[in-house]
Amino acid sequence: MYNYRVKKGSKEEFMGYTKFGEFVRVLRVKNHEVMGDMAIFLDTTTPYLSAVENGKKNIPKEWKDKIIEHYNLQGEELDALEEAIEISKTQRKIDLKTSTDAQREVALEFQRSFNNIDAETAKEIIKLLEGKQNNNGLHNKTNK
Amino acid sequence: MDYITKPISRKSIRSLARFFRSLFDVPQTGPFPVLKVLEELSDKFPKANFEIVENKDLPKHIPARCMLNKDGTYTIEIKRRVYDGAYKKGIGAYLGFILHEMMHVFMSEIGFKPIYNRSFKKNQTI
Repeated sequence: MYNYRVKKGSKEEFMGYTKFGEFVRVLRVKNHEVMGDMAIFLDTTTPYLSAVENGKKNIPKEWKDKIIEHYNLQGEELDALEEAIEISKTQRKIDLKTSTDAQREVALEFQRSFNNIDAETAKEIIKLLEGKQNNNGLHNKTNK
Repeated sequence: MDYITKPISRKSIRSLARFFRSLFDVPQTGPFPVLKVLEELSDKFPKANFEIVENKDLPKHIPARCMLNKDGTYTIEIKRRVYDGAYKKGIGAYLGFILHEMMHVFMSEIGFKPIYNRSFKKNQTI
């Protein structure tokens, strides 16, 4: 679940739980634990853990193994954790070294307009890009 | 008081308290597991989440607060010393502060919306 708010009198915007935040919250509930318990075995503070769950800080790399070991995650739950970590990253890098001018222009325009993209526009962009990927697949098969 | 809401009897408040316990499968007698319910809050109230913040991030006189976000969701912000004190030492006052903020979500969602109504002190003008 993602919630955005604008703090009164400030330009700051905040989100609710990330996928990772929601995932670990549910893990705690299932295992009758609270945030304080999780902060202990992750060897961190409650504000830091909370900031990660709310998408304000990156997930430290060492947390993944600690969570897997503590809750003995396997199979689907392990896959779900990895997916949640991937989706919840606060930054993504795009390597433009070998990109064309057109690709660089898209990346720049995307960066400029990113904060103004609403949920509906985001879905349309994803649909467009997924359709493009599928068409490329069909095109390659035809050429064979 | 800067906010008002619709009136309710003490009897009704006690009924709501019983309902709130049943909502989270908490027995009707005995201590209320504040931190456990805090974790489960967004299961019953998907529009709510909570954040533990550093002590300096909230004003000195505010141990915790419930923010109504622009999109109608709620964020409960709790000072680190309040959460940690409630968790590590079971400090009753701190558990009370946290529960109080959860009640804002609950009461607002069942129709007790706070309305801003500034009161004036004697001879005070705008």
